[in-house]
Amino acid sequence: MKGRALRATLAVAGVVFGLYGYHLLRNDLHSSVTNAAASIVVAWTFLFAGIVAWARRPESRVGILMTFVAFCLLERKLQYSHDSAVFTFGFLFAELGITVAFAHAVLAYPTGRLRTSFERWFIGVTYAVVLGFSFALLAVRDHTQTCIWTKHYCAGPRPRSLFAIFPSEAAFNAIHDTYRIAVYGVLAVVFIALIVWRIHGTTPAGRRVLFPLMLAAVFAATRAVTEAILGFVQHSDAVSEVAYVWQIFGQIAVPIALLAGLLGARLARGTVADLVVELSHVAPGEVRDALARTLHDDSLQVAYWLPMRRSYVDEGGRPVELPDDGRSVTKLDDIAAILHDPELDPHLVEAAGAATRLALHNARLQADVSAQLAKVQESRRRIVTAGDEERRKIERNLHDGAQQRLVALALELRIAQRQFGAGNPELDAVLAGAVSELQVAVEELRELARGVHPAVLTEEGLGGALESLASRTSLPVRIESAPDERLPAEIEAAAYFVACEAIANAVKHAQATQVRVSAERLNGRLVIEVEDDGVGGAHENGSGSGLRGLLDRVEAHGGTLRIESEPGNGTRVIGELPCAS
Amino acid sequence: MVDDHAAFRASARRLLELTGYDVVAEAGDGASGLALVRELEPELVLLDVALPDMSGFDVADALAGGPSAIVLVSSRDPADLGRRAHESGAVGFISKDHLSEDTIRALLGGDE
Repeated sequence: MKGRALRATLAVAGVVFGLYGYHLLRNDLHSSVTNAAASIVVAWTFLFAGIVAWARRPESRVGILMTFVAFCLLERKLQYSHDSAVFTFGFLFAELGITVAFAHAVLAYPTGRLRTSFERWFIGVTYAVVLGFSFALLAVRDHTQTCIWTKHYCAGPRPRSLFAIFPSEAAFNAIHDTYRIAVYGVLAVVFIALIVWRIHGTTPAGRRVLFPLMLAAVFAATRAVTEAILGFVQHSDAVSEVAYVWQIFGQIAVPIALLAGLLGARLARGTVADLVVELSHVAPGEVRDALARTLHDDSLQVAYWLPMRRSYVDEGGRPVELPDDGRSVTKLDDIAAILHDPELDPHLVEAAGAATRLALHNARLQADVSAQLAKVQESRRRIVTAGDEERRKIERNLHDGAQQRLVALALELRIAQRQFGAGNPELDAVLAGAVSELQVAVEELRELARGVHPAVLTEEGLGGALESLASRTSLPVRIESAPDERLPAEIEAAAYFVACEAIANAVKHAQATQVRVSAERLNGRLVIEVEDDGVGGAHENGSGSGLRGLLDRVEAHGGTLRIESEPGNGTRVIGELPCAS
Repeated sequence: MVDDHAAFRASARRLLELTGYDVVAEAGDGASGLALVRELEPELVLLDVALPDMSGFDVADALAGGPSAIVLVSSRDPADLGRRAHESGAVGFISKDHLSEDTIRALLGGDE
């Protein structure tokens, strides 16, 4: 109620002020009825738009800023008074409404707050520049010489500047020209550039919201050009008239567009009701799309808050860093954050988010599960990879340690056999027997090491390892294809062990007569296929098949394992492993 | 004799010398092995597959076409060495535990 009373008071004050301004324009400045009325209508349009926006969108300060612009525009009329005090007061603040306060309201749209530190700096400096110039002009104004308004006006009593310190017409004209260049030239260009930059960096939804800004930029550009040209170039009254009409239309259009923009966002809230209906059917994975559609922001993202992990994740449970690249973040309590175009009204985003609360809650639970699953998957992959690495080390240790010693021992026995066995057949036979026992031990050690991790896989990769495997198998094994290039070690190991186990099963259980193996890269995956012509009927949980362990190994790397084994139709084991190039 | 295991080199040298071979030089890595073979041009080079600085296959490839017969040795089984064991410039392969006058002669027999 307090705000309402304040707005009512301001509205009445604005109307009264406008009537007084009209009186000054008509009686003191001797403006035409049309011009005087148009000038007051511009101010009243800002007043009306400002107060309506303030009442309807109290959370946005644009309404207050537009009301401020309206009073600045009305205050401007005081400079046409013949009374020195009223003139001085009017002149000092006259330029605010048509320059910096206007720019402030436009740049602060739609929230009422300037977005960047540069914008804040720019507006602050412009307030100081405009007021500084006005004060400087008052300081040098010589009321006996300078006629700043119409001849009709100057025929009446010319008001004095209460701040006149160094009256000089030349100084006044010089400062006035400098002011036009500085404010209507340089600062207007910066203002237009800020708007162009803001429109350039936004989405189609943002552009729709920013329409009033585009209009303001066009208006400011037109005004800057007319001020620059008409201020320094001789021109006819007709040209002045056209420029004036343009200015009036421009000044009226901007507050209406700002108001329409703010109310338009309010109207868009109607679609939130539709969203609630739509979301009663939506799957958790489709919440983002539904929000993006309703808010017209394709770049919209939803990040779900996981309190246990104290971090945000996306739908798939992958970590999300909230951006600091200018995209806005609207947080919805402890459920989620919506990352959206900064031009979108955060209250509208909040409303849409609230409407989707239940669906977001479900989506967050799903994201939480996905995040946990991803974590488990990752640790499973690390465990298998670490296991492979350990196996590689064990194989190397066996090879470099025990195997080397046994080999050296075999050579030493052979030397002894050579040196002492020639004349002693009994000793020769003992030594020969020891050598041959040692060779069996070496071979068994090799077999053990090979089962732990075949060295050929490390040295030659999958192709070499498959060929080696085929050469050691008692059945004919045909290697149809194998990648020539090296693949990640864990993928090579997983594929090799799939082939190894499938071939071992073919030999031991399937009564197969031949086996076919192929390993190919297809669409970022390594597909390993082992097919035998045996009795079939194998399945992953079959006793002694070892396929269960293989399935774990393949899945740990994000792959899949399929077994096709109809009784009587042989067995086909197909492993697919992710393998980006 | 090119092998990074000094104990193996010592045993192999004694065994070969007992059977009438004259071991003219030993090397513990691929680079010095290559240099010695090129300098001394021995009739036979026993070359370990796994050397600290390079693969024995690479050394064999570099010496292919030269006057020396290259015999690869390894404590691994040839099936564990992959296709390069069959594609290198060596005349043959002997598992270290089978190294003897007979296995060498069997390999070189075709040349003599």
